[in-house]
Amino acid sequence: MSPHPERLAPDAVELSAGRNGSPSGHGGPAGDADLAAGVARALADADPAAPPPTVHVTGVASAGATRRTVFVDIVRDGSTTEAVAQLAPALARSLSPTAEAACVRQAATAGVPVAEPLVATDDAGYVGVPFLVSRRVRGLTVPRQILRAIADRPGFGTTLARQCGKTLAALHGLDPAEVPDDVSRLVDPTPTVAYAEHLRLVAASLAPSPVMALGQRWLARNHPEAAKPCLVHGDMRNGNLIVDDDGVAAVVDWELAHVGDPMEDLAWLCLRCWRFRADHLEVGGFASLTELSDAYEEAGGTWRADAFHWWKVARTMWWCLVLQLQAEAFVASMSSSLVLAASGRRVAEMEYDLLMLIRPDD
Amino acid sequence: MQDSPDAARLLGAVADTLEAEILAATDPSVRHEVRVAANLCRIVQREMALEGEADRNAEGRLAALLGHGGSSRRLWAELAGELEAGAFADAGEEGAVHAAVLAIVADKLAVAKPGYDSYDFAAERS
Repeated sequence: MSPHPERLAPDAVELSAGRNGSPSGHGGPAGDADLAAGVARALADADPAAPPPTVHVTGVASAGATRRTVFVDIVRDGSTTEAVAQLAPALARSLSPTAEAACVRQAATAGVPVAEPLVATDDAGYVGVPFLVSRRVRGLTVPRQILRAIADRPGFGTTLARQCGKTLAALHGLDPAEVPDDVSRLVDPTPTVAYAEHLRLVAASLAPSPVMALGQRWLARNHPEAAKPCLVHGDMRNGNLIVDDDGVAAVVDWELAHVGDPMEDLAWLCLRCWRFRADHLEVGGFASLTELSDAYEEAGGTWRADAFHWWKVARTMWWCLVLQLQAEAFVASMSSSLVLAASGRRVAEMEYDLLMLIRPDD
Repeated sequence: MQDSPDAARLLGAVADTLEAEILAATDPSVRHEVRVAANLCRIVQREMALEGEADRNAEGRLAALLGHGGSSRRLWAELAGELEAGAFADAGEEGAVHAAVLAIVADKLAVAKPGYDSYDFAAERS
């Protein structure tokens, strides 16, 4: 039913670890040679007619708990293609690399800027885990660097927010019938009802909390009318955008893509936790909300204010639950990560945001 | 009894050292962890100073809602159970719960992230 439950914790682990490091210049502890050879074999198998490529690992982009991201150069016929390999252990059970690549390609047909998938395999035989290799897109990915670029260039934040609106309208306009079958559908009986039930189940697995209980009550009382389900990215926000001088060069990390309510994407993009202290600029710290909603509607999307707010509440609650799960993983000694331990002291931030979003009128 | 410096000063010194010399000498791949470590020292430092009073305040707020006393942790769980069971149903009662819970969360933020509650969401309420 829901695309989220099984990967709730692992994804969160990766998010908190920060995936946006710069290349370190040395490609990780061990196995780079095997990795390069495995990727080269997969590329050769995917295109047997072409001359076999050679592959070099050039750096580690990030080493999250679920997904290791490595920069590679693919050399074929003397020309080099810069690429990024995302290695996903089967344990994480995220959208399979082939399904993820299919979603990315479908999004690209609508004009969504993406990092072109070069090869995807669900076969762990090549490098030990399934993986996706995409063309490398140059630009900023670290949220604070993007916000600095905005501060340096008047109007650039507005450009980014408007591009996000246009991009999401294009994505949401795709025919969901063409989304691969193995992409989950968060639609039964409606996206919001299904998601509220998912949150209830996750909350029930954690220590009882009046904050979560108040959140669940609010969600139950305020379900918006359902809209036609569509392909949603599931994690589009400041942090999963590659930004160059012209604006959004690519939307990356499609492993949470699913079919659901379009306003889920718009709400997630606008959560306070993705503004990185630029709190008054609701769209990722880029610009105010009207820039996003106007651009979304101008590009053919339908803005549903009640659903937007519902999803903000729901996704804030989700992130609050994720932080608790991370802290639990540390307490239960499933992880020794200091970052996960610190998540326990970040729960209050999301509790505050949630309570403020559902605050009764004074 | 321990000799000077006290625990709070020691934690502050650890945080200062992590943020200065150690961060500067650290590989970029683990700088985030160093920052988190320093921040946790400062959180614990504030917690040692503030937690006693915050906990007493939380107990008072929760006891007022539930009509009896107990440890804040127990009352917190009890209030959650009551809410899930449908108690505090009318708007006034629920408003009182919301206000009390928000005040408790604000006390947690004074330890975990001072200033975080200065943003009031005025522009983004339903």
